[in-house]
Amino acid sequence: MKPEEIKFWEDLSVAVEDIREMIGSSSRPVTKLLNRLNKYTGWLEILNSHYDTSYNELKSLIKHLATYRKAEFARLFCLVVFASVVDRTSINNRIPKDYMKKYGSKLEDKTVSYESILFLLLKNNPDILKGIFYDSIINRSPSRIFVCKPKIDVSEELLKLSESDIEAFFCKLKENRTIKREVKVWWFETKDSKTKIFVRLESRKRNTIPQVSKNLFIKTAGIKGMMLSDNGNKLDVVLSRDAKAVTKWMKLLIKEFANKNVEFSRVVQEFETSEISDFLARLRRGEVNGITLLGVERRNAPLVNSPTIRLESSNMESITDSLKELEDNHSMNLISEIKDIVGITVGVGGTTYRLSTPINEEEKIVVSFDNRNMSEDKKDAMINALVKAIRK
Amino acid sequence: MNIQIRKGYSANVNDTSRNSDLKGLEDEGLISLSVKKSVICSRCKNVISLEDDNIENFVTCSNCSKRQNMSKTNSENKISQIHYGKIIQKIDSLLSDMRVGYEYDKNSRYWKVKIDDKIIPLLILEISDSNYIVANAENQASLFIMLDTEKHTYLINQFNESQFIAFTKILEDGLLLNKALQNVTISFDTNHSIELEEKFDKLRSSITPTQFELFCVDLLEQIKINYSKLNTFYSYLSRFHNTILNSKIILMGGPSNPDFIMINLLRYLQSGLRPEKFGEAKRYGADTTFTFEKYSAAIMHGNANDTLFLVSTTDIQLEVWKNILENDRDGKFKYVLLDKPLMLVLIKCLGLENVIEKYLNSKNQK
Repeated sequence: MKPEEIKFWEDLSVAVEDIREMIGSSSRPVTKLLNRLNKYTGWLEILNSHYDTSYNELKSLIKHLATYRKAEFARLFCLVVFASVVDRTSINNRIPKDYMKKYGSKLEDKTVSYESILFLLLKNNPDILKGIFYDSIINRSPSRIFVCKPKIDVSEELLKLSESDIEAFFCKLKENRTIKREVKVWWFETKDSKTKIFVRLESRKRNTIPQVSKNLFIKTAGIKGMMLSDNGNKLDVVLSRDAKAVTKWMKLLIKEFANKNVEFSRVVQEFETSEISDFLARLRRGEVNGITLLGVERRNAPLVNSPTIRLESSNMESITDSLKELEDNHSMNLISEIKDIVGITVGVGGTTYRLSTPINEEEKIVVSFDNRNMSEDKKDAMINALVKAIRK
Repeated sequence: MNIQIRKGYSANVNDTSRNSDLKGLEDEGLISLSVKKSVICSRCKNVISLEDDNIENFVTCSNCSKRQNMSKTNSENKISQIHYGKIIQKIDSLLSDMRVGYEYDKNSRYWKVKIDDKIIPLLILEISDSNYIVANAENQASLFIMLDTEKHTYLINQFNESQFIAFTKILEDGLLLNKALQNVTISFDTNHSIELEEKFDKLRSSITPTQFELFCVDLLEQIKINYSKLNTFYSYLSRFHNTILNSKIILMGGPSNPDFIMINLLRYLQSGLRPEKFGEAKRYGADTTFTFEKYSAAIMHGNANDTLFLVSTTDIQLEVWKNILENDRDGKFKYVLLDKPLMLVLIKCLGLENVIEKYLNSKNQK
């Protein structure tokens, strides 16, 4: 493999050197790859058509690659490792139209898997893999949402941005000491009215560096992801504990490229206690369409020493009957005092969703929506549906 | 006031209304508060309590084993202790302000309030030891104060709701206690349990210890004859097996002791009312304590075999109860003590008032 290709895989968090070492030393690399491939379907068809072969068994084809085309074998191994860390929603969103036309029906009847399509993308348009990788990070990582005040429309300015503009912008921030550490733009994309930026920050000086031989940069650098959408009015901060710094950078970015002064503030869903209490009561009576009550966590339970009780469904079935039995037979009403409810788990269309319900200084319930394994669009739709159901 | 007086009950620092209520109770000396610190697991949202003596700067989630940084902690004010003595004092002062006749029974921890020639027992559900009144509360004039309303909601129905009042409500408006007592006096019949207790006290003071022994034997005989009523009473307790009705509350306190202990009444009575027991009947007046020394001596009379004590007082030394609880083996109590409230429970619930009447009448005839 060429150094550029090794860098390509390392940028996608695939430990390519480890894979090459394993292929060189292991006695059974073919079995190892086959074990990973067997999880997915459609590989034989895609590989046969690419290599112009007509093997009846995937095993024979892989053996052929391992014997005669070692670089291809290593590449395929890297791809399969990559496939295990990305999610299917991200792959689906980035499959080009012509592939969709050709394989759409096969993807639906599962004769071809989304993971096998990655092979076609690697061969024809490897940059798409980068998009899939970062989309997966956004979908799988906890994110914090901020909104811009005042409302702006900087979609044109954002569309004009290029990776070099962003690099120059961060260099400027480094020069004027807004950012004190070395910063490197890891990935940038502005497309479909969404601007996604991922940067890596140099490790803090006080951080100790463990003894490592590979991927030193990956293991010590801080990663920050940010996504501007809704004409620049919405900011998702991904993978960053210090969201304050990221909002400051984005404020400066909009000032730099659109010459607008803005502030970003956290999106918080606040509800009156009566609203949550009413929502819970309606959930309990089964009056909320499409949403089932799957769990309740309550502190100050009416028992000796006031413990916290968590009642969770184990099979996606509603817990309303269990709550009723607790109340009727054991004289314990878990949802009587709304201020003591710590979290509510609901099921929306086969997906479990947990709502944390802490109380803020104004005695309002701040509902935070936690679910990491969900695509951004699905998450937005889910939050909107839940907010609508709570507000009735 | 929308809080419960229950050990361990806590309110988040952001919850200003409940915090100010808790602080108010602490200022009056009714409870002690402590600060409970916790960290919320970033992975599974489990609440991890932090100990004061934790010397590490991290904590491991007990649910998902994720290591948590302790930089962001949540604080809550928690009720660490309830000062029952102060609560009793508070109610006492409210009653004295009302200018009604009342008497406090320090052993059973309840008041007999005299209103319009009726005696109304005023009890605190969590600490008063008067099972016979609790068990016969409905349609009888008695008023119950609840420290923890949430825990006792199952006792309340539309017929008896005026018999229950939250302690926090009384604190907010002292006049409520007077209103509730007046209401109970008008709406409910005379409390026969109080009459029964008075008769028992009269009997106790008029008979000799030997006659009390005879009375106890007679009482046990009557329980045996009325086994069907005993069966009904057991069924009643069994139906409410996990409620306060099926309990005997024993006030403990002191270092290394819990504030109070609730014994499973059904199990306790079943352990006592069974064959192959040595019996000890002790007649004591209201001012005599049944001490551990007397208790040990009584056990020695029975050569340390299983013993049933029938004692005519409520003033039982703490060590006696501790010993009874220590001898709870395989779900059976080796020693069972039926004190005045428990004897009255059996007399009342099994309809054995005639036993007391019989002894009182024989005394009068003499």
